[in-house]
Amino acid sequence: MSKRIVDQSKIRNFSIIAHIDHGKSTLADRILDVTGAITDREKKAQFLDNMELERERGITIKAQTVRLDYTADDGVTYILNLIDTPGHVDFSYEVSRSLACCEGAVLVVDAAQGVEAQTVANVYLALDNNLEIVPVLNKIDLPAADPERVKQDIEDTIGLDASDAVLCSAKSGVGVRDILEAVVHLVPPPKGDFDAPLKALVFDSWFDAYRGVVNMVRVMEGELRPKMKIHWMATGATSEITELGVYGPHARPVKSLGPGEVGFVISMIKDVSMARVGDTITTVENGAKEALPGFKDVKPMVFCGIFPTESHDYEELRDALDKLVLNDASLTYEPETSLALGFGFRCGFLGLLHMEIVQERLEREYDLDLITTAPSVVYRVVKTDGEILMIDNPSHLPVVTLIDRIEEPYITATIHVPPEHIGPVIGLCEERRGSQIDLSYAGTNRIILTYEIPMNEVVFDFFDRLKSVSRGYASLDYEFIGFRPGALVKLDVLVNDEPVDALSIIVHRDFAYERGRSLVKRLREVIPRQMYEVALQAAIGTRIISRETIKAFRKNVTAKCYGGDISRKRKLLEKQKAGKKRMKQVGNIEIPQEAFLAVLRTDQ
Amino acid sequence: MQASPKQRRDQRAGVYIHVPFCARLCPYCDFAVSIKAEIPHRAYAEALLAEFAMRAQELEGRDVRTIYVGGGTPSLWDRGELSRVLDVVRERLGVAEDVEVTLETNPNQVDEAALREWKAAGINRLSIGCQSFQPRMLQALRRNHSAEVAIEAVERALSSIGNVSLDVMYGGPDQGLEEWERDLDQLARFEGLGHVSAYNLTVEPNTAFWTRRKRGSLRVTDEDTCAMMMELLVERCTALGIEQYEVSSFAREGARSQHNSNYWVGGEYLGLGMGAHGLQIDAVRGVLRRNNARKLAHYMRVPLEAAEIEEVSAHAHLLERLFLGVRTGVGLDFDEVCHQFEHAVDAALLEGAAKVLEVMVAEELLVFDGVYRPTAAGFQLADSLAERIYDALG
Repeated sequence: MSKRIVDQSKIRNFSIIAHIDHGKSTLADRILDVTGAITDREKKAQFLDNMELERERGITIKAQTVRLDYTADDGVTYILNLIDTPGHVDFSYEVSRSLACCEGAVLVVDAAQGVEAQTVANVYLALDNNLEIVPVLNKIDLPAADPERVKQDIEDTIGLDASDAVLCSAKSGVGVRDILEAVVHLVPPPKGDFDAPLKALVFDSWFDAYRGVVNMVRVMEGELRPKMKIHWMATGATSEITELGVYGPHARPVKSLGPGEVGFVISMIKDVSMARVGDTITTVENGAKEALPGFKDVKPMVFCGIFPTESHDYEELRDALDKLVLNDASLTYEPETSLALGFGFRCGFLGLLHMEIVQERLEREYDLDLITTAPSVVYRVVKTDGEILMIDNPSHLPVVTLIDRIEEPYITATIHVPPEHIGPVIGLCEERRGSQIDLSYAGTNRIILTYEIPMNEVVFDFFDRLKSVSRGYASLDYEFIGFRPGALVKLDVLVNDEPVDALSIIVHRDFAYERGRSLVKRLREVIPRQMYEVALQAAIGTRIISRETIKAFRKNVTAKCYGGDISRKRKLLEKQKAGKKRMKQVGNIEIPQEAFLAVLRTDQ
Repeated sequence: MQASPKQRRDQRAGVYIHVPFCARLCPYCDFAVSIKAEIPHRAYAEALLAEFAMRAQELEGRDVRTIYVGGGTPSLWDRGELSRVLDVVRERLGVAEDVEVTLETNPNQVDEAALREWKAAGINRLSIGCQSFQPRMLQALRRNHSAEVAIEAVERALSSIGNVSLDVMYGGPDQGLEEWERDLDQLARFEGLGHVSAYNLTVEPNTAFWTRRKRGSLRVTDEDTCAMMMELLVERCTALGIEQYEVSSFAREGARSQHNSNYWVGGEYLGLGMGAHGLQIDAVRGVLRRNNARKLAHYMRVPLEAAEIEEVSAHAHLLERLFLGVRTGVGLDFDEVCHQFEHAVDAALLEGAAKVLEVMVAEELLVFDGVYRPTAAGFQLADSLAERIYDALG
């Protein structure tokens, strides 16, 4: 039996909860500073390292989790584990796992802006995990700062006593030590039996090209040691630890990680899907009987088709996706064939941000020209023979006569909005088929709205519209609540009488006419005039509900084409041909990428 | 036979001489021009002659069939210098007496004396930049001559030199169909007029019109109206016996510009002067497109230095020939194309080309009478046709 290396009572594990722009990363940097974890000379290099890491780790964009030594005012040196969390609503599961590794959380609120919906959601997650919350008002040096109002706001919206909130300015460094003092004294030390079977919670997992899969873990019970044979209880994977260490912020090997400690585990595992966030690591021999609670196999909620503009790039696209999933267990993809777009992949994402990040990486890092179809959610289709299909692609919907009912995913949306913008926000939610569950005042200048809304209605531009109707003041958090039947129909788009499968959408019957009309109108705007007249039609089944015509070119010719004009014209023609890579030919009509995204945009 | 390894070439070739001087800058023009209070008449001639002396050998063994003096405004150039340069060129290249020698001119300079001297210098074709005969249009285009001067210039040139082309423009600022018809009426009044170049105004980058359009202070005619203007133009010219033989070029039988026609079949020409372009088919390097410096001072200092020499692949040159073919009346004769591009043509490419062109025939954008030629609708859409050729074969 090995002796304890670390005194548990000196450990403090905490996260920082903050809304984007409220100063989380600045504060984290400042804490590194104050604890002397990095030298002045390193600050710049450190920043670059983080960028590198972000790039490698892709979608779970977050700073490093770090272990810091902090000598407090009482003269005792504490071990602080600052566990970082992703900041976007798409990654709330990851956030919940990170919080499960902490005993406390520093709640950072902008002293000028107050609490945002997503912050509230994360605070509730923290409270669910019995975390001690340390409220901090940041940016107190701003002229617009109003600490008293924001304290009241915290009390009203979260029900947290904010009277002792620490005032700080992460930018100037004021109050940073006060925060650490509060952490040391308010956040309880971790518990956990050193001699119990090993239970370590995985709260982050990524692929390192040189070292394999890296797991960030918090040991709950037992001990991790180098060369130990370990077992992931949810996925069933087993392997041997090749490296065990902590980031401080530089990676440093350790001989042991005991209960309450946080560090990294590297093993022979090569696939992140075998070592997923939320899983419990135990030992192969004399392992724990029960895993830690809370593991979820997160399922993608948003889907879209991704097609190479040039069919010969298909293999390259597959390779790129293969590489991306190494680092991103929540990304799914499977081959898809579209009549209009050829061979590509149907990809599943946690949410819209996740989708955007993946698309951007494919285009930028892998230099692929892609056509992306409008995002869709997954539908549960009950056929007349009782068979149940999960449909994530509108064009795969069975014919109407075989469908008993279609069920669509619903979310609970929690929206925070100042009273003066409540009207348009309610209007937007109603327009998106939402039903109001709750409307409550939190203080005098904030209303918390709760709506149940079909996810289909939120998936594309809901967030943008919410921001615009509330002049940027509304904030949103959402949670999937289940499938419910709806009066849904498939809306097809025909271009010169040919259905374009990639433009099909599933809509509520009540909105079908209006959507059909606005959709073909929008397509008329984004499809350029061509040599032929183009007829655009929206149809439900065989019924045409709307039609627009793009008139053919009457004249398209260069007037002057002599000596030097000829080579200029040739170069233009060569460039145009290259430019058409971003268009898709349907029959003899060229459809630009915008058209495939226009289908779900509903503003104007 | 002297067929080169890379490119078969016709013996016919042209010479282009660029004279960049202008009295003012037209707001739609993006040509290589130079506005000078004092035109360096003699120095420019010397620069041209220096360039020519070194480059004449590029046309060794060719049969020079045309000389074209364009601009700019070459009619502003001293006629003695013009004559001197033309003499040297003809002498050195052994150019026959009867070849087409064109001079571009502004209407302001077409007086009896000038006509006499140009004729004496060997000019036998005059291209007059009228642009319009409507005072409002002339004003909108910021032309420096009146309608009357333009009409007199054309009449004088017709009775003196005979072989005359005039430039007109349509689709100009705020121009309507009726105003354009009045210009077409005027064309019909010129007895013996053999050639018209009618351009749809194109707003080019780096011009005053471009800036004005961006600011919203320039309204040009819409596409549909321009299409009607072109229809009207074709109709009226046809009635006068002046046939459309290229998108913007109309001529009576025998009056087509031989010089321009050579461009459209991918023929060779030596381009001399500031900003001039040229095309040479070199026995070793293949097709070379060259352009000279666009700055007068630079050109005059080192007239031999090319701003750019581009090697055009045989395939690219062939594609040029194809897209030019669908915008010219001579069209595309596969036998000729095969002969000219023996080295670049293969059965698959010919088959591909035929497939694309046959679709256009079916759509009545081309006709086929042994040769593929654009119809009136085809001329209107020649850029779209060109794109399809590049999509299929590029």
